[in-house]
Amino acid sequence: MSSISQHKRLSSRYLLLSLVVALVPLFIFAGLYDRYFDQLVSKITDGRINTQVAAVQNEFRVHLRERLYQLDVLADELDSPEIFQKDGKQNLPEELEALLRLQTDLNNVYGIAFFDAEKQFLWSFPEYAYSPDRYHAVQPYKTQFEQADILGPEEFTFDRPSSVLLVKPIIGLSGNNKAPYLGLILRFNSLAAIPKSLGTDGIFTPYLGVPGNRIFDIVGQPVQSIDQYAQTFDLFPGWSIKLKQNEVLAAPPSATLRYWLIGLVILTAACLLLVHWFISKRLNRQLDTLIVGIERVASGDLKSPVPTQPGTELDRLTIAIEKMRSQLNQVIQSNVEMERRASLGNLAAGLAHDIRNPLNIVGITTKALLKRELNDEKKEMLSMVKDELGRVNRVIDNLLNFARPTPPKQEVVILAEELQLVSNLLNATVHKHKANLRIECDATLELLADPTHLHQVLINLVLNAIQSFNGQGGNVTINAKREPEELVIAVIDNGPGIDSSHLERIFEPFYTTKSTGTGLGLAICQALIQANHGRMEIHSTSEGTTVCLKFPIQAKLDDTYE
Amino acid sequence: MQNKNKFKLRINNTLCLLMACLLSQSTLAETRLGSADEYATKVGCLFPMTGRGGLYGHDSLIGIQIALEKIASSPRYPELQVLIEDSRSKASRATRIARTFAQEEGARFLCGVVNSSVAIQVAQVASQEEVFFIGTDHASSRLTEPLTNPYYFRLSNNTKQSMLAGAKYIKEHLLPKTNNRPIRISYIAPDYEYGYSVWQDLTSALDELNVPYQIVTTLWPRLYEANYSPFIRALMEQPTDLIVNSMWGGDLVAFIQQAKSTPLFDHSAFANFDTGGNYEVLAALGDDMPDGLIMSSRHHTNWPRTELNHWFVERFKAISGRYPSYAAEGAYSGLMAIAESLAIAGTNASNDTIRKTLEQLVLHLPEDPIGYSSFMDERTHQIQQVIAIGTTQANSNQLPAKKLLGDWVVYYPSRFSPFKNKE
Repeated sequence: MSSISQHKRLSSRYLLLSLVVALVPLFIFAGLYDRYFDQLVSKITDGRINTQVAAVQNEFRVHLRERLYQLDVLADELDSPEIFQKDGKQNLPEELEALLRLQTDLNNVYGIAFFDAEKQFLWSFPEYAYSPDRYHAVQPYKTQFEQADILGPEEFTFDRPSSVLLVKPIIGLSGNNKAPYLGLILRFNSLAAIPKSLGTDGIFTPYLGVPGNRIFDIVGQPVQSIDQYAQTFDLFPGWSIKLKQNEVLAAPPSATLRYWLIGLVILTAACLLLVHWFISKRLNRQLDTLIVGIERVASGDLKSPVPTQPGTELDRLTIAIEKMRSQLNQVIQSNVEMERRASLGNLAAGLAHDIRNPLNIVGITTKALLKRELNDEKKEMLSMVKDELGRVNRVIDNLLNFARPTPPKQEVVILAEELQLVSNLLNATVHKHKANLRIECDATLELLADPTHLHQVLINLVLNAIQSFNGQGGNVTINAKREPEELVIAVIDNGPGIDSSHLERIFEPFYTTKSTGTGLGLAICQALIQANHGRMEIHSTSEGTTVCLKFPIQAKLDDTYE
Repeated sequence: MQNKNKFKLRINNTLCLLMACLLSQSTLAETRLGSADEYATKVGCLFPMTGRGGLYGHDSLIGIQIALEKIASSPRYPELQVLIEDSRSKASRATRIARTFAQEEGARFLCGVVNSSVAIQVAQVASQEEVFFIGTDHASSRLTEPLTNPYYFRLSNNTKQSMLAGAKYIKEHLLPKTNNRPIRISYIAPDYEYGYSVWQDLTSALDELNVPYQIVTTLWPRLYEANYSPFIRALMEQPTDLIVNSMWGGDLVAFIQQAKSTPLFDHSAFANFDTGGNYEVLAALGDDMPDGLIMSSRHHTNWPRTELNHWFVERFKAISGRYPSYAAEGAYSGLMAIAESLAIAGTNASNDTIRKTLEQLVLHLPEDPIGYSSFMDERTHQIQQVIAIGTTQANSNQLPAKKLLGDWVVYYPSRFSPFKNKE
């Protein structure tokens, strides 16, 4: 548990560090961006807009002055009082009518209106260009521009575009004390479009404020709300330019961008937490598996391997722990084996000393009695006693061999010759059991070993193989080959194999499956091979058994058998 | 036999003069076509020959040429001499020229005029000078409904007729798509008489047909506006089911070109019921013309598929190397109406007789489908013709236009009730 909490503390620190590393620069960047944006917008909006607005204000004045000049030109020509009467159209000479047509050809002028000295509407040119009702409707929207009145614009309708009336008195009209008035019916949309240059860079949307607290956009549509207009620039009484900062730039940096940044920060933190959770879970899982393996070893189970975790962070650690478990197991097994063998040796030496001498006496006596005995029945009985005594002696020899094997007298042997010798020795027995023995060995293979031990082990193994055939016959092969670091002699048979339950205990002394066996054969073989610095392995299936004797190529000549 | 030879001689003289005039037309301020005989009936025509409307003038001139060929090929028609001047779409210039035609040239007929505002003032001059004004290209219904000028006759459909057809189209083809809610309409038109007239006629027609509608906005860019982007933005700012546009010629081309790079045509259906399907517009836009726009025109190069229309379109192409705008067929119709009325009433007939003849006029024109002939309504002096509305679709049969109108919906006028215009 402590390791987990340690791990948690470590990963939490890692998480905290990651958050700091990721978020602090992001906040700094956002702050700098805020400031930069603020400055940029201020620079653009405050610096340039004043100049542009001044230009538009001037454009307005110039536009209206041109129209006033147009009125002056007309006034110079329309100098007959008869024109400024209700039926003035009928009194209009042809050339003056042509002049009026010329003046109304302009796209910005819908027509020309005539008024009497009391500013009562008389008639218009073209006839349909204006009416008394329309004149009456614009009276509330009268303002002054220089020497002229500006009336309008008219209330917005879907039916037709609005107009603005520019009215000026005709000073010095012959024969008239009171000056009548002349008006130009102007296209309001032309006036509304003048501020459009203020909106071309996309920062502001320009509008035109007109008398009656009305506001129009640059295409002449009325706009309802006036709350959001940041700046107003007067043109002349009642008329103004209004600039609405675009919502995208209304609160620099824009709210949308700010939300995006906040979202980005939250997303980053969420990603880090997710990564942290994932890594923690993965590490916990790996640690849990490792801890279970270690706890199993701690509880004494040295044989179950600690599972390795290839491709994970703990791969090297689990491999090291598994290696440690394996070596520990080997050391403990080796010590146990040595102690067991020492105890067995002491026991065997005692038994040999205490049993062999009386047995020798019994044997010599039995032989003597056998020679003198004439009765065949008794002779046979004594002969049986002698055989059994011999068998007891062989058991004691085996026991002594196992407990205190003779130290190996190692010499370099030509392996092929040794194997052939073994084959010759076993030839008769092999034939008797209807079996075949085959030797596979390179003639150049050499081995540093005690040839007597080698013969004893190989004969024992071949005999075991032949016995496993149960008289049914079979093939036994002794195969010797050199591997990179070892020389391997394999005794292979195609017998019925050894049950897996027996395999685990097969090298234990006195463990046998035969009714007449002593259970020391393989134990002695293993002892002899180990005395020659080799090792012995058995693999068995239902199709046969292979016993491998493996000798290191570089034998430790200085080692002595204990 | 003598008459036949005389007729042949007359044809030759006419054609010689025609060719001479055409060859020199680009260098003279005034163009004369037709008979050189001083006793020939003179017709003074006013068309814009320069600026954005210049193409209308040139097409009208070729239309007049084709009409003169037709007139010269038949002995029943009188000799006509056609004088053509550039009005520059200015009322001051047009009225001055009209007066000159009447007073100095002795013209008995005036014809042409593209701009409705100009036409109203020319009509006043015609009335003052007691000469007949045969309108061929302008469409404002104010001139004919109600009729205030006995010397005015119009040989092309007016805005009231085309808007009534447009309102029927809206009712039959667009309203069903709005799920029983009033159709939302935005309107954009040039800021002059024609634009007001179209809008008034459209809303009147929608009211008359009981079409539920809601006006979203009306926008009035000036004639020959260069930059439509503020108007396009304003149209896209509010949800709309239909944008009705009544621009014409170069203005419509410029508007569509500028709107093409915006989502305007996805924002709403788009219709131009009076002039949008004009071949001039289709040719100028080529591939830039979007599919599915609802358009009509006073004459179509690919409808009706009659022998007369095919002849007219191909003859125009043979002369000019291109397909005609509706102005050509308008001018052709105007001149044929003059010739027909003189053929019936006689060249020396009084004004009253000619007026009565014109009021009863029936003419078979290139835009008339099989079995139908255009006729003059005597109360309004407004010709009654079939109106065909189509949608733009890919068609390379008449290059350089890459899109032509198709999926036609055809509306016939009533013989006896032109005000109601019900089938």
